[in-house]
Amino acid sequence: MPVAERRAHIRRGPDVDRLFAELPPHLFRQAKLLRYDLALSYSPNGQFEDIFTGRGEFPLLSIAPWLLDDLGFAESPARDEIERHLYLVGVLLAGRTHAVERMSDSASFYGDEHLALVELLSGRITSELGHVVPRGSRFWEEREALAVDELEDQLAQRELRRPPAVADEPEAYLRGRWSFPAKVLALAAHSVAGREDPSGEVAGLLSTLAAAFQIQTDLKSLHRDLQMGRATFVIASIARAAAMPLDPWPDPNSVLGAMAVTNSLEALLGSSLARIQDCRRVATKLRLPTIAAYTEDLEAHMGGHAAAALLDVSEPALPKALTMAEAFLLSDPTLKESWELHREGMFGEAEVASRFPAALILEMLIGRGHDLTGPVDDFLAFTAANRFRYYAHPWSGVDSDTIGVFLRLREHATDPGGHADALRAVLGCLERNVRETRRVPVWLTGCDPVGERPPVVDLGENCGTVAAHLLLGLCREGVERHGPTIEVGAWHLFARIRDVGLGANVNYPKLFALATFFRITRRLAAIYSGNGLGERAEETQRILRAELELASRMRPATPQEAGLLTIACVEGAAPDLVDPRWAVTILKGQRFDGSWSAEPFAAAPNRGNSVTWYSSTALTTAICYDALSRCAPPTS
Amino acid sequence: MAERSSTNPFYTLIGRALVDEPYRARVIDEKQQAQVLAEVLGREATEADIKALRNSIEALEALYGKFGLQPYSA
Repeated sequence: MPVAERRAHIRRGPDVDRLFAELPPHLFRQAKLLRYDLALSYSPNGQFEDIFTGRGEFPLLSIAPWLLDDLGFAESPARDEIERHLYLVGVLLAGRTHAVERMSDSASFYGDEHLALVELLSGRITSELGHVVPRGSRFWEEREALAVDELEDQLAQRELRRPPAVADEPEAYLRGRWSFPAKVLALAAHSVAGREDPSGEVAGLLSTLAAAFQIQTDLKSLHRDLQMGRATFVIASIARAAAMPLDPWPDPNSVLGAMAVTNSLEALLGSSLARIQDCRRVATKLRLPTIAAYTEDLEAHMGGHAAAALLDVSEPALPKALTMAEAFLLSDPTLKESWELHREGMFGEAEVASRFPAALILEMLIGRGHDLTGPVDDFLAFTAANRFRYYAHPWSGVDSDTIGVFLRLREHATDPGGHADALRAVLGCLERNVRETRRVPVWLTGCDPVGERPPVVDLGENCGTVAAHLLLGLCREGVERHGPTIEVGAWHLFARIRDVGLGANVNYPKLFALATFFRITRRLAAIYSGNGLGERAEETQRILRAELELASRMRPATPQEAGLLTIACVEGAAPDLVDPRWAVTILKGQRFDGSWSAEPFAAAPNRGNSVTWYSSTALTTAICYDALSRCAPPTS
Repeated sequence: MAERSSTNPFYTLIGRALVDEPYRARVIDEKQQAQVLAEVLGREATEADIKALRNSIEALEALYGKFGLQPYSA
């Protein structure tokens, strides 16, 4: 370890522990993860205690003690206390910088909610600085000016990096991440030492040093920046060397190849080294021996990077998220977690389940190209044996949704014509119910022998989404076989949508219903093209389109909402309405096992004659997966 | 993200070889170089194409060792 780094290695962990220990739970969770992120991102060994040490990291936490040494501030208990506070300022500034950057990174797990953390950190920075710099000091004005410059620079960089990339000079993209925090710490060190940096040479030195490190950081993240379409000094330098335009954004591999062929890596490392040499010269001139010794050490070891990876290979977030979600969803072929399992005493039993949600998931996965013959066979066999009841209990009603999904999955079974007798019987019952009620009921009556089922309260009757699900299934079976049932059900459904819009849906999330309504109207508009029902289907699509446009103006708050809205836009043949930020909302919500946390999907009975929300991790994950799959560019 | 520009297929080949190990093995295998080049160029590779590729293998190999993934655990 170079002598200049000695002070940086003093362990300050307990001070940081105390800093966040009293936070309420939400802020505490954000701060806790930020601490891990800082350790992962800026420590040579992943340990928080070692952040910003080692030659590969900008020496942010050493700036203040080095300057205090070099400015002749004598060792004393008072100085120890000053260093302790400035260490915390450094950590807080690092955390704030990291959080702000990640919030604008679509592939990160930071979002708008982290504004609270940034606010907290900003307040704590001021508070910690207040412990070492008196209120009336000029420091505060100068720090304010630095902060304003920093904010303006951030905005300018944001504009610059927005496609199309326009800067001619690669230097325009070079902004040292740690320049502002280092300058604040240097300003504080000067202030407590009773010294000034009148011509800003120390600040300039730190800015140059931060830029030297930024070049190496940008090299490390080159692959990822290319995938994200984020222009940096490194990318702009390679593009210039290869005479490659950045507008339109180039294929990432072509920039990597250009880097190899033009030998840009050496030039970029040379550019970083030149800046470090410049820092050494300035530090020597300014009589800052510790900083001069540090930069000299850096210079001497610049060639020693060959053993470590200089450039990270990055996996793009979207395909990685899809792979993780697939692995999660396919890990249990029964999808048991999604079953609507009741333990509150339904039908007087300790446990009663409906496998229906698993069938919806199977349908989504099949729609994305997965071969799930085995699970489909199992579901169809179980459903036929259960006589198309929603719950696996003889007192449960037979329902149209179960028949609908059975019909839709049938063609994906080993024997698409299987269970014919059971199906014939229930379809006969369905046809009679539709004929008598002139609509598609959710719950069918009279399918079981009289007297077998005691009086049971069935929830969710008159749901248009259930009717649409059934009609989609009947269409798969064939209009020639089920024409009268389809036509009666469709006329009724379209009339309800015309009258009450998405109020025709009872049991499902509104956006899920919207997508389902688009599917059935599209299907029936094609089948009945040129006659009255076809025209009504097209008219209904126009009503739904208006609902979709309204929904697309609302910002979805959760991954499932974002997923359902995306799917609705695609089913509504309106991919132009899909906002790229919805995919970001989904990506930021993915868990490390590939799943998304369960979100409310449908009402379900609960103890004490109450109703609460059914939710399932697998179902929410399938919706998010389905939506992301529809956003993914085709693979070559 | 902005629309991708049409790019130099030779650069794309080298770049992919930097981050795709099986592809790199094909690129440095002299018996497969003509085929790899034909795939990216969309035509049969000429002697000049193959020569240009071989001239770049050293640069590719030098840079390849500098790419990596940092393994981690909790």
